[in-house]
Amino acid sequence: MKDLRESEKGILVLDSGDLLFKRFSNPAPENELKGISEKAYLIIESLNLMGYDAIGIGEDDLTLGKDFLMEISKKANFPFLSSNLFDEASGNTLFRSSIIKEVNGLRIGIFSLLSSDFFTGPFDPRKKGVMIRPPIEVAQEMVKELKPKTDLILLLSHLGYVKDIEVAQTVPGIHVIVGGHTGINLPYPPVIKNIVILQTTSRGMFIGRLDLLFNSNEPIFYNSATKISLENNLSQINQRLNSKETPEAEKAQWRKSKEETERTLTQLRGKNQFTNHIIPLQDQMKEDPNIKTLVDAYKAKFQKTEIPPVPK
Amino acid sequence: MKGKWFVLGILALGFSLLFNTSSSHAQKLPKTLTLLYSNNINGEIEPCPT
Repeated sequence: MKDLRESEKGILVLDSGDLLFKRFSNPAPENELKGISEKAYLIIESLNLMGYDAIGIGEDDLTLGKDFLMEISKKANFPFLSSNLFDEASGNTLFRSSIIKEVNGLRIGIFSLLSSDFFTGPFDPRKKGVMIRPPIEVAQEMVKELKPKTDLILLLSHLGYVKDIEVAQTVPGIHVIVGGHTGINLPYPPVIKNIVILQTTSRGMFIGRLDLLFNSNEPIFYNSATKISLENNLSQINQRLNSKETPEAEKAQWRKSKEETERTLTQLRGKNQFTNHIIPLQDQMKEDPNIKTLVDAYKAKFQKTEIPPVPK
Repeated sequence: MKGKWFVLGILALGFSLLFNTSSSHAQKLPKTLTLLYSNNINGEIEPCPT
């Protein structure tokens, strides 16, 4: 990340939620609370060092309650975002509902949504004191608000992959959905109604990288891999058509395929392309010395000391 | 006198053409944006098993 920040100008680093705690099953026992909360602070401190620009909220981020989450957000150098998560008492959003970042001369509007479906029910302790508004309704409002002020709209979604598709089908105006919760790698991201849907798998095993290249003002994108694949197809079709061994009857079919492929390639002209990579986090990757110091200090304080086996 | 104005006019036209060409070229330069994204870190980073 550090190398990228030094070599590239226009970078945004984002997370779409379920960042701070393990998957929720039961409220944490009293004797583990200190370790769990300090680990959450350690994660925020690490993200500060990594230069994150914004994060969305997942249901598991509410494991220690809304007050804890609001308190820890003050330690972050980046905003916590959620457009449909409200404080039940005040009726206000718990965090900022959107931000606009200016990157490489582009105004990027970012908002975030959380699904209420991932809580275990009305008495789920993570839901205490909060209210979640319907995501599609809020998405429409956010797009209406951000569209006149921005060139590109990103949604940090903690709705799950299926709901991300529904949002793409029903809410025009968003350009990229950075998805979460489902925990699936999408190396070849689907583009639904001109909305690119992204996601990587869980536990930070991978990080996703999307590079957008704007040639035209209208932010409609296609995967550069699609173009390469179509061009390869066209080259193969031409080989068949030019070959003396291809029977005439078959050539008629190839001519039809050629027309279709050329038509699709023409449709891509004037649009903007993207490339997407899912990068595995591997053991041999260089560690940041500052983050390592923080992690080592945490481990020294909280990691259980192993009891040596009793000699026989 | 006329000749002086003519030369000035030519120079002004030349500069304006040069300016327009370079600014339209600048407009055509593609803009780039890179997104690095993560999710579901779930309080623990594990190296990829590959």
